[in-house]
Amino acid sequence: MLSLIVFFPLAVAVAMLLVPRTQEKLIKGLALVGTLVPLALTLVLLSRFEVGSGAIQFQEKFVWIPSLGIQYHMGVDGWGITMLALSTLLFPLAVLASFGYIEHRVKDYFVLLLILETGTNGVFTALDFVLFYVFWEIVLLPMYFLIGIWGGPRREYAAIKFFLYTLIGSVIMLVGALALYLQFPAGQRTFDLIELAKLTQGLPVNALTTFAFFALLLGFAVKVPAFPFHTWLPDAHVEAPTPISMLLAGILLKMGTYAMVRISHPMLPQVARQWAWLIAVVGIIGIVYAAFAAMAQKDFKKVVAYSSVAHMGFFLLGLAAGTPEALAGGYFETIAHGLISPLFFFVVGMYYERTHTRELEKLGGMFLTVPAVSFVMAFTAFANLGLPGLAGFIAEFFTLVGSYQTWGLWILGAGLGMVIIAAFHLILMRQVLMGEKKYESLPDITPKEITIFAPLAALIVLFGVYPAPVFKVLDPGIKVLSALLLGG
Amino acid sequence: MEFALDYAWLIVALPLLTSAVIATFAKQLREPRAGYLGTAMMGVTFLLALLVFIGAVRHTGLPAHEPAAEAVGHGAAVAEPAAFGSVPEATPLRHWTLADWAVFAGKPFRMGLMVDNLTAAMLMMVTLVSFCVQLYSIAYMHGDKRFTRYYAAVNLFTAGMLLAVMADNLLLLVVGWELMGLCSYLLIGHWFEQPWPRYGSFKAFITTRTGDTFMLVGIAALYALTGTLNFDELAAVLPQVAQEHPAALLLSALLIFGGPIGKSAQFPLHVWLPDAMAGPTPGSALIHAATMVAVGVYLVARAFAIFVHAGPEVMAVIALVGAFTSLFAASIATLRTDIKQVLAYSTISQLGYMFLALGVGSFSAGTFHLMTHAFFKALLFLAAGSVIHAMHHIQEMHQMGGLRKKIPVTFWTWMVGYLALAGFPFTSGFFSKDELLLAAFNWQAPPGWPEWVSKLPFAMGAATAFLTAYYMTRATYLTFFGEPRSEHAEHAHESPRPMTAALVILAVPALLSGYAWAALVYKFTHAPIFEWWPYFTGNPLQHLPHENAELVTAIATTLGLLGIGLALVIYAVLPVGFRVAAIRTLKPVYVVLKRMYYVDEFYHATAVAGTAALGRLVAWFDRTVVDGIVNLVGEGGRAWADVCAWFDRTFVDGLVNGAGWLALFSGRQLRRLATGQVQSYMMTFAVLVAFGAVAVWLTLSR
Repeated sequence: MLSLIVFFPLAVAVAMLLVPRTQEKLIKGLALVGTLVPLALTLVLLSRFEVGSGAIQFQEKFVWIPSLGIQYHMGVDGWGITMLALSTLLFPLAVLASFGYIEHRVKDYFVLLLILETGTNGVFTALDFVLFYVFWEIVLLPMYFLIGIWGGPRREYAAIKFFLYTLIGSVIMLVGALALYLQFPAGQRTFDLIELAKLTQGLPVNALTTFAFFALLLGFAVKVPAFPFHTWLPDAHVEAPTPISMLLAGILLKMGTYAMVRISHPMLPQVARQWAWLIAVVGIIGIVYAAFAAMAQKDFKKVVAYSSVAHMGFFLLGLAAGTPEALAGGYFETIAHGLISPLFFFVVGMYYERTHTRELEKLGGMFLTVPAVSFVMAFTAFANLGLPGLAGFIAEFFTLVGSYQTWGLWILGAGLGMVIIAAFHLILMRQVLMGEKKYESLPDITPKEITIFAPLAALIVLFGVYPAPVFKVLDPGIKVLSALLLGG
Repeated sequence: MEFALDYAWLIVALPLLTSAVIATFAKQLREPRAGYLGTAMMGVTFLLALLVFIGAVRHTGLPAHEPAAEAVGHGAAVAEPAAFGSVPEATPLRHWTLADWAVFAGKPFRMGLMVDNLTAAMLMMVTLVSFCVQLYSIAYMHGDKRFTRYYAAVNLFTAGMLLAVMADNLLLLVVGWELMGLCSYLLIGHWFEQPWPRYGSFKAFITTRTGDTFMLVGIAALYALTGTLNFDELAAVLPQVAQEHPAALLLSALLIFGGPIGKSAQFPLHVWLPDAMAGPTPGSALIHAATMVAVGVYLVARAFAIFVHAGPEVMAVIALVGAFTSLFAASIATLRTDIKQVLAYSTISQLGYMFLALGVGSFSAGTFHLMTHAFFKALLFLAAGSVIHAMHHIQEMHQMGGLRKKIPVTFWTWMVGYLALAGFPFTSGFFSKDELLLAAFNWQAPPGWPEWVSKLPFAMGAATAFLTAYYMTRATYLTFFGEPRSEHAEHAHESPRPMTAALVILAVPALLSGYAWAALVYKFTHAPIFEWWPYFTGNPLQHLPHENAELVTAIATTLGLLGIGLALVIYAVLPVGFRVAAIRTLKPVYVVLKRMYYVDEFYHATAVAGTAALGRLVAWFDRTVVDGIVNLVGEGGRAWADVCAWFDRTFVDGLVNGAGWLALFSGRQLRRLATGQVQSYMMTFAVLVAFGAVAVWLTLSR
């Protein structure tokens, strides 16, 4: 089943290659099918998922290259299935957002989009490092072209920057993994993430394990992105077309956060414990720094992009704290952000399609011009600034609550960031929504836009009011990881 | 009536539902149906709250016996089981819990609603004020283009307050708390086309959010200490925690108090409240009387155990912040000329009173003043709105005058609110202020603090009583007495029926609610009803002194009457020339008061300007330094890549190909090489680095 979820989009992409490029309707229909089927299958998996158990579920395991300990090993636990669900949810929405928006080279676009989904779904389900790495790299290429071909005026710069950054990151990560792999005598060597972690957890803290830890972490941190490796993100977002921004913020960043809880931290918790302070510092700096940076931006999309960096800082802070509440809060942040930020980028797109500008100076009075679109924006902005009753608040609240146990008053730094985050969202709303009309009349929200808004908003509210489903799914994994990170 | 208690949760649900319905069907409802719907639903909610309240009263009963005359302190409460001022029953009347709202490493996190006596009283007060505000708004908001939005916000606002009041844990209380933050943002910014509402709504949200941040960190600290946020569990574990980690608990309590400082507009975070007047006046009544600002006081009362166990120092801080704020804001109010601004500073001042009462240990006096103030301040705001309505949206008192005959209902109801606020004998404010000043009078500073600190709360509180009577008399005189000073004042008309009806309804509790705890009346009648409030909502941790009651009453009443007299002399008797001369002589004082002690200017020069500058600095740093390094590395990499590509072709290929297990990767790299693009070179370079590093480690690890 997992393989089907992962490779179905790829299969559709191959089929799509056979369709003549003039058949745009067929292509769009195929794209929708190619992304909706994995969503439906994931829902089936969710319904069958055994919540209380910490075990890997729906496993598929075949020998691939036995001499090197490489397997085709797929499976999900709480960490994975939540991300898989997020990914399979966002892809159909991104496909929908592309309709009417992507008008040229439609076929190439959707082929790449489908390949991208195979990559991301694969990352969240692969349990063998080589397999994981293959999917990780598969994500890179379609993203590069999606930004580079369908992006804005500086798309090539942004695409290359994205590509190089994440490529260097992933290569360094590969080195780290290989270093760990080679620690063991030939007979024991394995790339199986679960098995390897059991072995590596027993390694002493020395130069080699520290190197390996940081190599892995760096590769993931670039993707998250953590300060100071974040500058590719604003550029990539500004140039990327709306649906791609949605996916970039919603899913691609989560590859980094997922990889940390799946690979770097469970494999080398003994090293992670020693350097937790550094990750916490990076997290807190990220929150405050990105919040301030967002405040000074003049481009709507850049504000949202920097807010992503700030929110990922909460994840890092929670991960560094290691307590169950902090881990749960931090990971919940990735899910909340995965729902809110795509919606926010979509909002930017809604205004851009109507006004053809993202410059904040040129927007204003939108509450009067397009009330429904503006309601969506206000909802999203308040969700993003962590309004209680919505998902983001739960995440930030428990991250703070859990982090205090480890970091004490240092989390006041994160608190300062929360104030600045609130401030720049309000400034944003003041600039875009309030004031006198700047545009006499623009078309208000369309059914397509409501279709994209509704499911995301519903989940944002649901998880904000009743987060139990997410917390319950995550809890067995959190219990294990927290015990590892806090030590005996 | 106890059956109503079983449905008390509806009190939160109904306004929430109403808000959703109004927001969803805004187009179908419009004006005035949205107003009718909101008002009717709030009326139903109020009736339910009233039944709940009656149920709670019947459940509790009246104080059964003659209360002991002497103080009941921490120790004494244990000795006398049914002591006066203690809670008749420790457990809530009703409790609804969701046991598995969240789970952390197997430990469940509970979430729930509850009703106890304090909650029951608050529910009734909030729903009554909200009902009056909505009834009033049907006329006041007539013709407003965002009529439905207003009603949706008001109902959501009320729901937020009711949620906070019914919360059985700090997290849910904070949720209701922040919902009100959102709604105050919407209400203050109701007329967002204009600059002042835009500024005011922003300022309110950010200032309170600053306080909230400290509170969240404090809550986090509390959770780290106790492992729970539920009030009942906290009460159980706090005594032990206070023994084991006194310093940590003290820090946590101080941080938590940051939230109330922001939300209840205490110095130094009071600055948002005057600018919150930019919204529609009935909205102000709701925000500044019954809901948002009251929740800070409510939190300190609800979490009283935290503050008491955190030690007398924390309680002293609360008392002193409250006392200072009450005096500070009252002094500013003496020179405000905008009728709503007078009420705004008066609100800050009165909230300071409530913290003063709680801080000196009198839970009952603090919550009692919270209730009486909610009624008479809501009344005053609505009456002021009626004046503004009659004056065609002029708020300057200098342009009013002589309105008492033009708008009699407004005048008489205003008089009720005015006298209550001024602490005029036998109005509601008189009794509640008396109790809190009494508690302040008998307060002792924490051990080790200088003795004169013990005197501060009462001294400041008494001075505030004087100033309050003064500025309210001044405002009343300028507005309603003398000759009309403008065309509008000349031709003012009484407001429509829904507005005056709301005023009359509110005037009743504004006048009478004080008799729920009228020590003076009790002295003569010995009817237990007049000692009912501290019995009904008492707290076992509170300290209710009775010494010097007559003295305090005498001082407070005299000061109040003096304040009224002084204002009358200055404004009614002496000629205008006297005021001009006085301003000239006291110029420095006048300017400082007029500019409200330059607090706004200070924040603008520091926090606001600093934040904006820091934002620009960080953005610049990000663009030039961080990204500069990235681009530099990129450029360098480009040059390196050429070298490496050559090196790669010449030397490394063989090596790579030899390593069969890496064929997968090398194949990809080699293919890229042929494309001749920069990124391919870079990739080659990167892979090269990878191989190099692995080779090094292979050697090292052997």
